[in-house]
Order: sequence, then structure tokens, then C-alpha cells
Amino acid sequence: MAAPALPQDRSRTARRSSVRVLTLVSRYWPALLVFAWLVVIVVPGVAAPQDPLALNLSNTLAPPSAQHLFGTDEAGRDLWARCVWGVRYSLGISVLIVAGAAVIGTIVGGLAGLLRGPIDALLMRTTDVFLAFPYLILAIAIASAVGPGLTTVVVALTAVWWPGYARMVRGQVLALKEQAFVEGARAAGTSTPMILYRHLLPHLLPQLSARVSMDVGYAVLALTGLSFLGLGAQPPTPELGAIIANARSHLLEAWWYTTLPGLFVLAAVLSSMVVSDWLESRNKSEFLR
Amino acid sequence: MQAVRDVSFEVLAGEILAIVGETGSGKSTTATAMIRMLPRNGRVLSGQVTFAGQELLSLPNREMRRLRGEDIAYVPQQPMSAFNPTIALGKQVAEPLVIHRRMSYREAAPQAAKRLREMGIHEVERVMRSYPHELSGGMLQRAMIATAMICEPRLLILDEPTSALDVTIQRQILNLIKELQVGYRLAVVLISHDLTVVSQVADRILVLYGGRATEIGATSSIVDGARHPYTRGLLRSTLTRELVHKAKLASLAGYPPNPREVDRDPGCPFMPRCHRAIAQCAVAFPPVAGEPDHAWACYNPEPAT
Amino acid sequence: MIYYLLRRLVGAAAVLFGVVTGTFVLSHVVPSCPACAVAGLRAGPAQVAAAAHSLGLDRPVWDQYVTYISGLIHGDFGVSYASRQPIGPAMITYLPATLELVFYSFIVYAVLGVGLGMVWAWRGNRPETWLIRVFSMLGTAMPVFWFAMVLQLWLGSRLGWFPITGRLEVDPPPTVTGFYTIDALVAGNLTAFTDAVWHLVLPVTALVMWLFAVAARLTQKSVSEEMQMPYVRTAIAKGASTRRIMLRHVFRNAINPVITMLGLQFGWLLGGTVLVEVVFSWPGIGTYMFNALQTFDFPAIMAVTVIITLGFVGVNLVVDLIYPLVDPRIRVN
Repeated sequence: MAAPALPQDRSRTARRSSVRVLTLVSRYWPALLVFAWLVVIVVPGVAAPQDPLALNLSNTLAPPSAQHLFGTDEAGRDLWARCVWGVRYSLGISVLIVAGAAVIGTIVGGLAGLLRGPIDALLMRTTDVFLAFPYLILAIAIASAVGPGLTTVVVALTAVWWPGYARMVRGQVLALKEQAFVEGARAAGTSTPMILYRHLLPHLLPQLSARVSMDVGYAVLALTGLSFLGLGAQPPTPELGAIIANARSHLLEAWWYTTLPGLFVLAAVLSSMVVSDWLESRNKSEFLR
Repeated sequence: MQAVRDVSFEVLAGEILAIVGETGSGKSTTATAMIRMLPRNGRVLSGQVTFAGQELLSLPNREMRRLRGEDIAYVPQQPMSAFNPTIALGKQVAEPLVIHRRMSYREAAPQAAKRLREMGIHEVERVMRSYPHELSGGMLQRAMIATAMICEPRLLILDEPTSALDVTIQRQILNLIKELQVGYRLAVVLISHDLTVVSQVADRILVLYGGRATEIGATSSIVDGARHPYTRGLLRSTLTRELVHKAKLASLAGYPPNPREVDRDPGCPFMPRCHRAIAQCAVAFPPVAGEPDHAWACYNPEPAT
Repeated sequence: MIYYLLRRLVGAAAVLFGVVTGTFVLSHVVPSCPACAVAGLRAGPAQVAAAAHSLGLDRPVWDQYVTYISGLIHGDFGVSYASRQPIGPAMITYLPATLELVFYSFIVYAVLGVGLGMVWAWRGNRPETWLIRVFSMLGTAMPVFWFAMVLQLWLGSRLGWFPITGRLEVDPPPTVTGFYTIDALVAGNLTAFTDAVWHLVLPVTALVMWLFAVAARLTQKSVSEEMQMPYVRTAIAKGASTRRIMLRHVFRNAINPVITMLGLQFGWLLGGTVLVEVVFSWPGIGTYMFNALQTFDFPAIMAVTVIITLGFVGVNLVVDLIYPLVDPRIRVN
């Protein structure tokens, strides 16, 4: 039976390269978003030509203008530049935190899942305790004990975050290790860490990456929260939480000081959520294939 | 994509019509479309469904809901999962009464108990207090039928009532259905993939393939003298006592059709597997031919026996 | 069943113990010198040693640990480095304010989140639910303290609709529960009642806006998945209305993960409360902790940590106890 050609055959109609580019963009636009943020992090000068640390005491607390997009703060510094630099810190540090947590969590969770036995039980009890904590309080406790500063906050948040990954990876590993290829690897004499690294990791990556990109957003929120309380970045480092904390003293006069930096945080977190959703939907469709 | 095309039939009070077909033949879709229970992405493009003189497809939702459960009952597939796992069985069996007769659960309970007993369940009190996961498949199927019958409907639709059960229980359930049909003068639509099973109780059989009606007729006509090659193939490929010991089991070559392909191709969907296919079969779906109580759609039907 | 309860209790106790020990370890691993802070900037070694002695810091670590634990059991949280006063009584005065804020925030966001989540699931991803989805996304992505400040600035100061700081402007009603709202009603004092409510609006809104999204999202997911279950078809076949199906069938089964999540989110709520209290100068333990942070008052910080953890563990224990009541499948196990 001859089948008539289907008119919806995409690869044939999208002959023109412009149409093809458009389809690529519409499908992969979150990647562009990531790229844009990367540019901001690596080369902040592109987005903000002004110097975030330049004091200008003759122009303090000025409302937004053509010269200063976001206005100025109490030391006359350009708020837009401070925000751009601040978001750089926030995103950069958050990525560090989440990446660190993911690595630690994967190793711990993966080994726990593969080895089982008393190690597994001990690890799981420890993660239980960590997970049971309101994370912000734990981070505050750690950061206050060790002293404020960006490094402290990184350590504190990583410590708070890794149990979640350990749990997730352990669960996945438990499911995966029943499969034949793991048995095969064991029979061939592969060491446990190698099994984790070479055989299991590719299967873990899709879910991990979706979660990591989601957590970057949450890490930004946690980080700014801690900085707001004074535990994170110390002045004059422009960190968004710290900036907003400074804005408190000028809440009523300088609305731009309070309102606008938060939008940066919002933008960063929204981007991370969008990327994460996109990765997840790609994961799902790959699976269906 | 059209799952069912040009399927027409009628069912009378006091008779059992069986709709038989493979997975993907459109039998479940036909049944659910009849009572407007198609999934969200399904629609009826054209046609009519008439029940006791009423046109169902144009009925407002509220009226349709009133019919469902009270005049038309649908027994879904797989009784084990069709019940709500967190609600006691008695409540679920009594639910149609609560919905349609505005009774409370307490008032409806005795009737539910009576129905369950009627369906052959002993220890009714215990069963009513149990949860679905505590009961066997056979019991759940009986309970499901009891639920369907509790408002004494006029039409009963059963979707694969025996597929999830083992052979001995199958027999019992089929007998139960037969008893109900006779006792209540029910019109019954029985959906199954197993022609031999339904031929034991059905009065008439409709055979679907690839979303099309290929043959319809009285059970005796079909079983003794099926004219469509597909129906013949189905009959031949089943185990019956007449088979000679160690004789090769006849089977239908090939695989059931992909609904998307069927949608595209204009001819008879059975053609790829048909040993009686002729050139005409690829051109268009065959017109219906036949006798008063036996019709088929084939250009080159099997000879009459 | 009893077994299940016992396991949960033991688990909760273990967590609490772990936290307490953890805070103790933290406060003694600290590189800084609390005795120095207490003795003052110009203290010589002798005064520092004396301060250390008075604080009990020169005793063996194990000894201090035991004292700490036994103190906690008796409700003694130690002495604040900053104020030299016992922490316990100080915290007690701050606690009701936080409890009131947390209480109302929790109710509003739980009801709003779950309700909207159900509507979202019911209606699907159609134009009507667009608003829910957008606000949902925005809500999770905002820093809660920033939003609190935005509310304070725009709704409180610029528009003047709500007070900017504090719990109450008029004289407080006689204390019955510590909740100004309830106490005012009990005393029949409507002015105080409205004033208290008005002061609650902005902080509660900030917290709710931030949290409801997660509740809504999870409820929507859980309910949507539940709606795919076969028994929903059975109910439709019985002629049940959508309302009946949703309320009596779907919701009952979908509620489990939602309850768990509400319990876990309580931790977020507590963290967020600290931030919101600071913004609104709300006299609760969040503010107390913030002040302690400024002065590096470790005992106070640790005390608040323990209290908050206690609350969190308690709530989750209650959640664990509610489970079997709602889901008979767990009951049988």
C-alpha cells in the first residue's frame, strides 16, 4: 500500500536557514539565557560600565537617571553597577555551593547505595539529621560560630545542601544497581568507586543537572538571606543581600535602593528555574524516546 | 487521528452484544464514546448515540451524569485498580445510590449488602468493611458489577470483565452476567478480545479491526459461518476440543495495525495480514454486505459453510 | 501501628539530640574567644581568665557538655554573653510574637497553597490558571526579606494602608495566650484586635507569598497525578459530579505528599520568619536572634537554634502522627 507523504515533514519545509535558526532558538533558548548570565559573571563590564566601588559623595542617594540607571546609594556609588557585580557574586558563589554539594552528595550517596551495610545506615542517619533542620537556621548557626564572610557562608550552605543530593543519588543508585550492567561490571572486577564513576554517573547526570540548576536559584536566595543578616559578604563587597540590608536604613527616602536590587535576584532565580524546567522536560522526552 | 470509523450497531433489552477486537481495534474507545467518557483529548466527530429514544451526544452534561450510573452502567477494566484504595468497599458499592437517590451511606448500606450477596459474595459484612487491596480479583469484579447494578440500570457495559481473572473465575463471572441479563432484562454490551469467551454468553457479536466494523451478526452465524477472513482467523486460532492432539495451532500472521497508519491508508486495514486480499482491498474500505442478521465488510469474503 | 509511632518518636528524639550536640560542638569549636568578649576590650589576661571561669569555660569539655544537656532538659538555656542575663526567660518574652506570626502565616499559606493547587490541577494549564502559575513562580523566586521590604515601602509607607513596623500601636490586651489577636477578642477589645490584625497583614503576606508557591505546585502535581488514576473513571461512570470526585476521592488520596511537604516547609517558614521579623522590627525570637548575631552572643544564638529545631521536629512529628489517620494503606502496615 503506497502511503502518501505526510505534509508535516519538518526537515523538508525548514529548508530556509532562517526558519531553522528560529526553531533552534525556540527550542534551546534557556541555553541562551545561561550564556547571557555567564557573560555577566565573567565580564561584568559589558553590562555595567560604571565602577561599583567608586565613591561620589556629592551624588548620594540619587534617584534613577540616564546616567545612573538604578540611581546611587548612600556613598554615591552607581547602584546598577553594584547590582551587576553583586549578581555576579551571588550566582558565582551559588554555583560553587551547589556544585560542591552535588559532588559531595553524589559520592556519599552513591557509595552508600552501592556498599549498603553499616556505612549506609550511618550515612543515612546523618543525612536525616541534616535534612530535618530548617536550613537557614543551620546555616546561621554555622556561620555565626565560624565568623562572617563569604567563605563561611559557602561552607555553611554546602554543608546544609549536600544531604539532599546524597539522598537523591542513593535512591537512584539503589534502583540502578539491580540492573545487569552493574553486575557485569562487578564480575569484571571493577572497583566500587569506578562503578560509580564510569557506569552509574551517566545515568545520574540528567536528574542531577536538573536539580543542580534548580538549586542554584535557591542557593542565591539563601545566600542573599544570610548576607542580609550580616553573615555573608562584608562591606564594601557588593552582594545583593548586603545591598538590600544597607537599603533598609534608607527605606523611606530611596525607593530605588530597596526595590531594584531585589529584581536582580528575582531575575537570577527565575532564570535558574526556567533552565531547570527545560532540562527536566528534555530529560523526560529523552526517556520517552 | 481517528480511532474508530463508521461503526454502527444496536443493542436491545434482554440481549448481550459482544464487541470483539484486538488491542487498538477501537473497542474500548467505542464503548467510552457511547457514554461520553472519552479522555480529555478525545472527541466524537460525527454520529449519534440513541438511548431509549434519547440522543446522548447532544445532552447537557448534567443530564448525561444523571444517566450514568443510574440507567447506563459502565464496568471498567481491571477491578483491582478501578476501586479507590483508600475507601472501604461498602461505601464504594453504595456510592451510586448516594449520588442518584440522595441517600446517606447508612441508608444505602443494606442495599449494597443485598447486591453483593446477589453477586455471589459471602461474608458480605466483612467485604463491605474491607479495602480493595484486601480482596481477590474475582471478588472485586463481582463487587464492581454489584456497584453497576445497584441502581438497576437498563444498559450494562462491561469492559474486559474477564481479562484479569483466571479461567475458573471467568466462567463464574460470565454466568453471573448471563443471569443478570435474564433476570433484569438488561441490555448488555460486553467488550473483549477473546472471541471464544464471549461466544459462550453473547447473543450477537460485533468484530472490530483497525477501528472499523468488519463483521456483525448472531453468535451462531459468526461461530459457525464467519465470512470475514479476520473473524475466521480468530476462530481458528483458539483452542477448542475439536483440535487434533499435537496439531499445529493456526494463527494470524503479522501484527495488529498501528492506529496512525490505519488512519492514513485508505484501504482495508486487515489487508496486510489477509490471505484473501485482492487489489481492490487497497483502494477503499469495502462496503457492507450480508444477510438480515449477519453482515460483513469484505471484497473477498470466506465462502459460506 | 504502635511500632510506627515509637519509631517516629525515637527518630525525633535523635534529631533533637543531634542538633543539641551539634550546637554545643559548634559553640566550642569557635576560634574566637567569648571570654574575651565578655571581659571587654581592655581586659588583661587575668580578667579574661576570671571571665572564663565565671562562664564555666575552664572546665573540661565533657563536663560542660553534661551541664549544657542537663540545663536544657530543665529549660535552662544558659546565660547570654551580651546581657549576662539568663537566656531562657528573655526568650520566653519574645516567643509569643513569633508564634502568632508563624501560626497565621502557616494557616494562610497552607489553605491558599493547597486550595490554589487544587484549582490549578482541576482546571489544567488553561488561561484561567495562568495567574496562579505566574504568581507561583514569582513567589518562589523572590527573596522573602526583599519582598517584605517592598511591601513595607509601597503598601505601608507610600500608600499608607498598613503599619510599617511592630505588632501593636495601642495598649496591648491582658495576656491570656500571648496572641494579641486572641487576647483582644477574649477581652472584647475590638480596637486592639483590628490593630493587631492590621499589623499582621504585611509580614504574613510576605511569608505567604514566598511559601504558597511550593505548596500550590506540589498540590497541583499530586492532584494531577491522582486524577489519572483508574478509580476516577469508575467514579465518572457512576455519574459523580466533578466536585464530588475531586473532594471525596482525589483529594483524600493526593493529600499525603502534601502533608509531608507542609511539614517540611515549616522549616522554611521558620527561617523566613527570622528574616521577616528583622524587616518589620517584629518583637519575636527572630529579632532576638538577629540582635544576638550582631553581638556574637553564641549562647543566645544556639538557644534560638535549639528552640526552632524543637518546633520543627515537633511539627513534623505531628505530621507523622496524622498520616495513618488519613491514609488507610499506611494504617495496615
